[in-house]
Amino acid sequence: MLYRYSISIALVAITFSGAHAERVLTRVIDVEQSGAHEVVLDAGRLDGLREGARVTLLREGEAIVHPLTDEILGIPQEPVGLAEVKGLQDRRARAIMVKSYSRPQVGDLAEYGKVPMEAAATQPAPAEMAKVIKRVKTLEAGMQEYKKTQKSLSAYPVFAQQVWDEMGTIKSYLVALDERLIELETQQHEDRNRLTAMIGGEYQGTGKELTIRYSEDTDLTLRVAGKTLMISVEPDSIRLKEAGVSETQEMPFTEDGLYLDGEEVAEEGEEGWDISLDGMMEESPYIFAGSLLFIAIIVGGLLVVIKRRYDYVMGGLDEYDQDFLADDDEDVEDVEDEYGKK
Amino acid sequence: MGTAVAGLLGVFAPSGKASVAEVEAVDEPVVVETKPIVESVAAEQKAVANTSSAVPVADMPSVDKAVDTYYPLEVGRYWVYGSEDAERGTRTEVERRIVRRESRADQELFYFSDGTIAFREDDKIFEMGPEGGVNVIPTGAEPYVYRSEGLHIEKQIGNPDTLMIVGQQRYSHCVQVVTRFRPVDQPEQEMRAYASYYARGIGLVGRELWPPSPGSAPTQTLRDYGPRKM
Repeated sequence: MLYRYSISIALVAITFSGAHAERVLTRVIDVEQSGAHEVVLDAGRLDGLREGARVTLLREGEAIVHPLTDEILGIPQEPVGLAEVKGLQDRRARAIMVKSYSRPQVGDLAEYGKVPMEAAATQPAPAEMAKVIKRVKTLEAGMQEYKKTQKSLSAYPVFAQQVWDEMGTIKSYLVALDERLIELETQQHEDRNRLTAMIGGEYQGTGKELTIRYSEDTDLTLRVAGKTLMISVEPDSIRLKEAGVSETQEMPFTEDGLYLDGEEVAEEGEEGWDISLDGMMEESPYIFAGSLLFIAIIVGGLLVVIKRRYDYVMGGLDEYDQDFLADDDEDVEDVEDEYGKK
Repeated sequence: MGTAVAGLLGVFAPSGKASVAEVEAVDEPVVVETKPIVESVAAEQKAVANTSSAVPVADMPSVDKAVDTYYPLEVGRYWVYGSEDAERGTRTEVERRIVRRESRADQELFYFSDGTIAFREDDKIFEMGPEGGVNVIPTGAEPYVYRSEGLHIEKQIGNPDTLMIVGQQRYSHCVQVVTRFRPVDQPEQEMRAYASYYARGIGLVGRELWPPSPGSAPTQTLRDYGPRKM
């Protein structure tokens, strides 16, 4: 029992690594005495033997039997010698004795290290093994997919942040563009109104200044200073009145003409005047024609100025769009490069 | 039987009726560290020369047949072994004792208190445990190889004259028996070994892993023994 105890202690330290060849037993089936001692083993290539393998020859002795129970407790194995495999067949092998303690005999045990790779290479894998291999491959594929998923997930936050930033930039751009369009539409609408008023309304002005009757009691004054068109809205400071009406009576609009407020004129000490088409026609048709020509020239100049202004604004907007699209392309390329590196 | 582990600290108190003279016992039980020293005869002589004034090692008188062997088998003889499990922190002492002798036509069987049966055959001693294991102790020069319980076991006499010091006890002229074993299907690289030391007229006095590593301690040491338990 001391022996058993010690062995069990030592067995704990044994590591069954499996890195070494498994030891298996076969038998000596023939012994040849020609020249060197040669033995024929009952095992070959398909049994895991290989050329040059060392084989330990043992001879079994009388069994160790328990004196009370007759149970066989062990079998002595007398070392016979050591042989080296020289000739190899599928199920047979020839080995030459390289060390002998006694003469080998038929029936002696031959212990060798089995090489499983050769057997695996020559024998087809059983169905169970094929299933296991298939399952292992499936698991490997699953692992690869899992690794890819993990990689994508790990890169997702950065990528998502970049996309989110891009979306924010685009949103800001769209908002700015929308505001700009609204502003342009408003401006365009105002310009149209002004032109309509200029064309259909009355005007007053000299040189580079034009006053348009915009509404019932408001004048719209257009001033050209270089390339700048200045528009000012001025409520009436004088009242229109019909000729012959008292100074305090407010005169309504008439199609015949515009009447200046006589009270205002009186205060300034200037004579009142009126502009009457009928009167003008009566006085001189050339003046009337000249006036119309002058108005046409002014309106044409205004249209040119407004057209230039509109082109200038729209040109700036196009450049802004092109710059933004270029920046967007560069950002996309940067994101793709960074994603590719990861 | 087993052994149990008792640790390497212990008191060795040999029986006063021990009939062997080659072992000296310390008068007073002293707790000391058990440290085996296995040396050759020359080294032993040197050690004896150095310590002869304090602990002289006596020669080995042949008392009788049982005492003159390395594994005395007689009814009443007992051995107390101690061992220690450093990992679990336990120390164990176990007694082995021969309680019965049965003479047959071809052999004499000795029964131990733990159920083990031992007998001599040729130049070997066979120990057979109640659980089926068999231990073969060769006393001759020839190695003995056998298979038992799925193990390939090789027994061989190592150093035939060894000085074994266990604590304050010195056992001279011990026989070292080296046991090498492995599972039958495992290669030679998986072979493990331990060495047992048998003192003439006493029996097993210690066991250690073989080859010993620096600083290693024996797995079992003899704490007490005698021809008959008082």
